[in-house]
Amino acid sequence: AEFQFKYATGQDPTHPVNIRAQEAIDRIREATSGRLDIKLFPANQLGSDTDLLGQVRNGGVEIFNLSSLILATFVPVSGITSMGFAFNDYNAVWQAMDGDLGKHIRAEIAKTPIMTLGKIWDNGFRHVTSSTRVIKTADDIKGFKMRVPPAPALTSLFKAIGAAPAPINFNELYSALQTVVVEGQENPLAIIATARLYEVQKTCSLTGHVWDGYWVLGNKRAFAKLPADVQGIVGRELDRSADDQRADIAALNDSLQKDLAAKGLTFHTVDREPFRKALSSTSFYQEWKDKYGATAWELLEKVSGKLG
Amino acid sequence: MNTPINAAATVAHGSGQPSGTQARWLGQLDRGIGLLVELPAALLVLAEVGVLLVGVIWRYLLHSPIIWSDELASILFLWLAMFGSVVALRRGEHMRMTALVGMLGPRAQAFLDVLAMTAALAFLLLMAEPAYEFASEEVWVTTPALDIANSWRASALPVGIVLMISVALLRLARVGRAADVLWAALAVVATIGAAVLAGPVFAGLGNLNLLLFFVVGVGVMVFLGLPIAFSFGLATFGYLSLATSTPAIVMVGRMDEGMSHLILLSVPLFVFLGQLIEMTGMARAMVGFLASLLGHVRGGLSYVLIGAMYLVSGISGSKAADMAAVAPVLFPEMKARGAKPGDLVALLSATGAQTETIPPSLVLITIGSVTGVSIAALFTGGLLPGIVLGVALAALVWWRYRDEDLSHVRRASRGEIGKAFLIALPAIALPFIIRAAVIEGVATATEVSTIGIVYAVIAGLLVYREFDWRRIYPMLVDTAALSGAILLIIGAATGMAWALTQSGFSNTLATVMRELPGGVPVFIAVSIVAFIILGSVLEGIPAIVLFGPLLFPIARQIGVHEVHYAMIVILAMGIGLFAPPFGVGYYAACAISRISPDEGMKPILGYLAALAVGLIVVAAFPWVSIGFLG
Ligand code: NA
Ligand code: NA
Repeated sequence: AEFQFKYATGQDPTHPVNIRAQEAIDRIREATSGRLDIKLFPANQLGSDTDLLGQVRNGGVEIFNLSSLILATFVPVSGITSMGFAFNDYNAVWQAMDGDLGKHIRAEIAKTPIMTLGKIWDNGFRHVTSSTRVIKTADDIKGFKMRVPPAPALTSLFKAIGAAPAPINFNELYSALQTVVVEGQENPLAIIATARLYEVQKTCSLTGHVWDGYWVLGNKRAFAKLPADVQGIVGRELDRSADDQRADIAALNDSLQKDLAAKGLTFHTVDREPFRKALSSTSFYQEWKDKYGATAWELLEKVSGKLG
Repeated sequence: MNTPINAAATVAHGSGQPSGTQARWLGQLDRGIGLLVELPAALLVLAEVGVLLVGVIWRYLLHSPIIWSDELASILFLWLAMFGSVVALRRGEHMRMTALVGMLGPRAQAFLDVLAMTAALAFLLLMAEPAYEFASEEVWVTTPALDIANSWRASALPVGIVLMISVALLRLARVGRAADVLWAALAVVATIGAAVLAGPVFAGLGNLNLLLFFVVGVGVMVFLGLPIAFSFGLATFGYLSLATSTPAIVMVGRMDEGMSHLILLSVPLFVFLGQLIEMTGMARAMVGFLASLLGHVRGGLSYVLIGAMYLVSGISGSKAADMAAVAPVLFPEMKARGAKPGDLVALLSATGAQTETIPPSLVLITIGSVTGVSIAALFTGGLLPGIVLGVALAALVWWRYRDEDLSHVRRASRGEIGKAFLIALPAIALPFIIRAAVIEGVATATEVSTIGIVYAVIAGLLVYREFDWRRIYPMLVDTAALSGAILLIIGAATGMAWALTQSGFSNTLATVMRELPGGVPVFIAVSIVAFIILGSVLEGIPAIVLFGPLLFPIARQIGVHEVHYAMIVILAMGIGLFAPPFGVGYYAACAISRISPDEGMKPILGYLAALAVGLIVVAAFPWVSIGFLG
């Protein structure tokens, strides 16, 4: 092929991210008559997310699928998609992300050596699981020892509502839950299923405390070398796969809940409003507003309603 | 490693040695650099113990976990790895294979020592600019917990590389004959120049380059006696820059990740714990008891080693840490009883492979999450295969030691055994305390060594009353140097694994295996061979991530139980990982036991054969792996 790209992701090979990325790759190869050949490398085969973020900046890989939360270490404002209890449902999410808030974030990313290749993909709403107490109200989570990834958007959220978030390496999470180094953790259902965390957890509270998406990032230099028509094809096909992938996750959310329930995980619905109120009584929203700036915050509140 | 790079120092002063005043001046400079790197390295080890301990105390006792403890530990860890690498380079402790070099005359050996240092220097010089670029790019990335620029962490790489360059130059100036240095430099420059000129040829070779760089290239460099880490590094750098369009900075990033993986932090900590146990007399007490129990049995302590590795394996997720916990305790006594160092390191390596399936093992967790096999089932399934391979090893030990002369060893009386047990009790309690701390959820596998360290300090001070404060500093420096030697290899191997992965050869292999004739037995046999090779060049986890998702569905399709297949794959990979000359695990075992890789080469063949027999049993009888799954 005239152009050869590497497309890295951190998700397991069977995750919709990879299924749909491979479909896009196949369509791109066909539509460009084989001029652009893309190889997919799932499951952090080419490195951890933090290292891959370096690689997509310096050209080690040309395309990289990255959680908005982790991208926030490089483009801070992209963390706003994971604002605690901001989005009520997927309607709100897509309204913001396919609308002005998404555009604002894309523009910020484009100021760096990387760019987004279209629509954001779905990682999912994150939920809290536990092997000890059942989390239903904001009071239940007080002092709850839980593993939280070292993302400020999440750690500050759980600190603000009085939980005891602990950093545990994801590799050690399964064992740490099994031996109750921590009582619980939080993740989207797909991760709870693929990492088999349900084997060592009893309950899952559908807190949906934050939503997280995947940006498909491209190395600018590599893309500048592609002819305009090929660039167009890449954008078009990736966006088509983004739509497919969002539909997959929506379907998965229903089926996963049934699957996991059958495997012994008990689900609890959670009234989210009291959590948002509890957060509002702290300086949580104000601090993040200061960090993200008034413009981004307004775009978020257009969808989420007044926060704080 | 008793054939270190600075063996060149023992070479007679020939022509071209620096003159008196110059030598004094260089000597002072060398001591200056020594202090400049050893003090921070020692403090970093201490800081790691402190940070992890604080993390455990705040989470377990105060119920108020600290968000930034892991991140700080990981940042300090990269600095520790780099400073440790510098100390190791200065002391000539980076692992080398000198099996062939050792057969040559002293002049040729001296030249190859200089060549090894020159090649290392070439790699460092090639990496210096990309490392600087890498660190300066990381200014724009903020660490999530501490909210500081990631350059605080990434700068460890360029700083460490520059320090290593100065150490290498100084070493060449101090101990190399001028003529040797000149010829070595010429040889290295000529090789690199020829490779660059031949650049367009490589571009047309496709995946044949993998064979050329990683089999031929690494093989030649390793057997010429170049340090393993630099052999891996040079081959990877050469492949990436000549056969692909990858920027060199990627290699720096891979080394960064490979060297600072938090799970690996248990390596230096267990190394330090091992030294503490030895220094406080706990090791002597423990071995004294075991010796009174088994000393009259031929090969007795070898059985203890096999058993001890099985028990310790259940604690940490990392093989290098397991070995670091066991070797310092048993080896001195075993040597005193006449065991050959080569046989010891070979057996230690073999037990490393044998215990790969024992939970909690990182490889098991990785298989579970990339292939969808139940991790709980893998944990259960892994217990018996480890015993089967242990029995195979024990059988060989029995055979090898069957003629051991024990006429001078008197069988201990019951009273003596009882007394030895009482003395050893506080020491014997240590592994149980460590294990309990993990099982009770006090600490993770990474953190638990710090609890062991605290216990050893207390037992040493209060119970055994053997605590030599003056030895703490050299112990810390030793720990850093050893960790640096191991981690630099792992870092370079991580870069190498990236190069292999990005070539996409994994899909080709999976297709070939799917279309094999002969059904289950052939598929399993080919899997075993394939994973022995993969384990050797890729290490366990990268190989699983790469091939697990491709091969497990094929296994399922033809009717092999996934847990059974997982055990076969892990054990095969373990054999590869601990088989010289490519297996990183083997070199880790040599480094930890401070025995030259050459000495273990012959004795390990028998142990590898025993492991292979055990593996065939595991492969042939699925019940061993899946008999206990409810
Ligand atoms: Na283990
Ligand atoms: Na290897």
